[in-house]
Amino acid sequence: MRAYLLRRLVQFVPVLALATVVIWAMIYALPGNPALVVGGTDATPEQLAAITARMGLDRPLPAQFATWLGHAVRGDMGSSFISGRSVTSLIADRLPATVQLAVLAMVVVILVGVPLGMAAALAPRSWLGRLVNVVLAFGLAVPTFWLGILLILALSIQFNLLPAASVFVPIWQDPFAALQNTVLPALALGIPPATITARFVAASMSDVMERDFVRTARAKGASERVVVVRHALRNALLPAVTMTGVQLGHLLGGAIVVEVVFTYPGLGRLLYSALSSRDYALIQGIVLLAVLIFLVLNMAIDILYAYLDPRIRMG
Amino acid sequence: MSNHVGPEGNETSGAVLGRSIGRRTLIRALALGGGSLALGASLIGCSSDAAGAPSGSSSPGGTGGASTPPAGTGGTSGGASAPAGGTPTMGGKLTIGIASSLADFDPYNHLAVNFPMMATLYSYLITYDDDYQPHPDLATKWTIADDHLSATITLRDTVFHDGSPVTGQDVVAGITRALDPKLGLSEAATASIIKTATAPDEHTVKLEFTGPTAESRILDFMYWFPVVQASKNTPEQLKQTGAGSGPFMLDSYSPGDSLVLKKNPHYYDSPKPYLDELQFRFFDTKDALVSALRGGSVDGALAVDARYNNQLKDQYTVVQGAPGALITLFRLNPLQAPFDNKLVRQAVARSIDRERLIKEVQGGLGQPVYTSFPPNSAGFDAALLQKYGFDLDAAKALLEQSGGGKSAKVIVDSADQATTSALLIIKEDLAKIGFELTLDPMDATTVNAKYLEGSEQCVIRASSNAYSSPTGITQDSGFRLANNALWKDQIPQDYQDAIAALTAAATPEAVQAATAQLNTVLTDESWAIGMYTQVNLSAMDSKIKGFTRSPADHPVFTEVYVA
Repeated sequence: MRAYLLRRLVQFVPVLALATVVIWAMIYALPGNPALVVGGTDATPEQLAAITARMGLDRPLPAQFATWLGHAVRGDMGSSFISGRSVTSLIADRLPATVQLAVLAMVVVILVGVPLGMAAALAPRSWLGRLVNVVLAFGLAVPTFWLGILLILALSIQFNLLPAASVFVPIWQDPFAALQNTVLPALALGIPPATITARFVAASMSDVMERDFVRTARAKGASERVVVVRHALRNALLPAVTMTGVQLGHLLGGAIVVEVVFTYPGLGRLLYSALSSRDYALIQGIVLLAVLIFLVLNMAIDILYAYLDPRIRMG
Repeated sequence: MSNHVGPEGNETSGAVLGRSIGRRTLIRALALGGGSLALGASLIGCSSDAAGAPSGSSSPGGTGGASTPPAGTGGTSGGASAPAGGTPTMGGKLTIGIASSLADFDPYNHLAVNFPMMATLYSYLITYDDDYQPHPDLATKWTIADDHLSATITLRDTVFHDGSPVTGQDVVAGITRALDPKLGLSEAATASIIKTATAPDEHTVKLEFTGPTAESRILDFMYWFPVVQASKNTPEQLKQTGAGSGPFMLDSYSPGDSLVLKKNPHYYDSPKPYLDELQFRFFDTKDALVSALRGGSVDGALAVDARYNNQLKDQYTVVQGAPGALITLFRLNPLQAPFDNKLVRQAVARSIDRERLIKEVQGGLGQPVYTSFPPNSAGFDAALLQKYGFDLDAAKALLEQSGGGKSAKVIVDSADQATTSALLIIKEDLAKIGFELTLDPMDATTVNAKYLEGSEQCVIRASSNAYSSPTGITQDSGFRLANNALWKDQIPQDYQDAIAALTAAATPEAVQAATAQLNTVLTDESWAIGMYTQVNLSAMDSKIKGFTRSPADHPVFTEVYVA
């Protein structure tokens, strides 16, 4: 297992290096630059040139990249072109909010997705199974931002029950206020992927319930609950676990839209404003962090997968 | 693992089923999924004033008892300020939302995003009323020499936020910094009339101008000049904190999220401001801001589009923005076909149905304009609207006469619903004269970059025109005399002559004559077609009194209190 882990960690290096170059190239290819954002469209060319020089953007692109990379490998991600604040500190300020949101959204994914998937698999022809299938189809079709707006309209504006604009309250400081501020964005973020998880669980569960070992368990006299929970579910969860892990990475991406809709002060909103203002250093820092999180999550899923299925370790 | 995900903690309990699972078990299996929703429901059931309130920050429900959620009591629409009836109440906190952010605390960068916050942190030399009549702010007296070559300003005896005195040296240091070409500050534009600035004593500033300068241009400089503490007037300092003497001072700042200001106890106009704390919350979109207002997450919303008026006017006190703060202009690139043909530009100008645009895009708010001067500007000429207004027959005749191209592509910020709506109306009218307009949506920064490159055919862009002097239009990239975004180095000579005449005009009569000359040129060349005064709205909880805005559309919170 240790060799496996080491091998996976070594694989990080080329992926990160490639991501760095690709992200750099993509953001510099966008029209406009931070000097234009700071100076505004009425700035004279002389003013724009002065701002450009002050930001160091007048140097050749490879030189800018080399300087950035030199600092980045030492842990210095540079400063925001717009606010002048350290990228690392800006990210550190926002990361806890996004992690809290993503974790709560993942709770929604699991708590909604697994039971719905089981229901769809275990009673496919009942009225409940059919209802679940309709709900799943709706959940798959609905865009995250639209769901967010619906939740705001219904629960914030119509009934004035939960805040339409969330603030970040660390859950370890005030769990109640934290949940009040996070439950709507977590639902908007979690429900669409929950339906995907439910589909996976349903398909997997249907397959597993036909397997010989399930028949054997029943023949041994095990209760149906034991058959389902202890024998079938554990096996059926294997693909769902993989999918859920990948979804956690996607939740970070989906957080951009949800955080903007709910004005939630996380990394997604920070990235949105960085993109709007062409804040190259900040974009690079956030996207690299997202790539790193995605890689770590994938590795964690592989390890979990190996734990759940010993044949993988043997292989 | 199964114990974590199964519906039951006890594996041996429950009904034994055959091939199919019974309804009760299925319902139990769904219980955990429902749990998350139930959790939300319980939170909803318990939700009250704690919603949206982090520790140490404010929200409508937690504003120190000074504010309440929207009460549905209605408000007035169309006024320049929220009515301030009754005796002002001291204290309280407000949370105000705005669909922008704060880049830094440097007031010499005229960033639109910074404006609302700058006006609360800094004092300026003078203020204007809506008729551009000057009133003292930090300058209590100003005298312009008969030859219009110099002016003497007397400063108020007051202090900055940290208690140090406001002196003439602070003004001189500020002007020096504003004019430093290496810094590229937008304050340089209005300060460019100044040749030298000196401080003969602690409360006096002497300005010498580069040439005879009209009073209106001097006043415009004073209106747009914030006084910054000299010892902190550096980009590095102003990235972190403000250094002004305005009614509020910095308490805390979370970049991209919120700015908390507290009352300046040293403010010269004590006991104002009445509020103890003013929090700005930043939103990414105007829709999100309006939702937050309607959901009670903020007490007021600044600078929302006029199209929200119908949604907000019955429940909130809605204050209209200043009439001259922004003029919506349809800018045609005179170096790109088909707009390199003056007659095509004139044809487009006569195809603009300003009344319909105001009605459908701005909900009936705003006033039509023909050039870039608003009705309260010395440059405004109402006769132009009568003479060259909407006339599709005339437009069609001009288009035929031009022999030019009959199609163009217009770039538009895809998030800007008002501009998109306006363009769809213009497109419809242009189609009636045989001209095809195609919309090309993109993000705002790309629109700005392409506009400055001069690579696109046309675009709608607003122009800020909160100036007493009509020469203020030369601050706009489409009207300036050097490096013009549209004309590049081919600026028409008659336009250059008109601006030169206006710049040299020192007396009101000379200004009037030069302005008429300028309007003639602008109408003839028609590269930036005025459409209407763009009205932004501020919507405040009906219990908020005394809110107003300056002619530049800066929100003014100095006299705001919670009834």
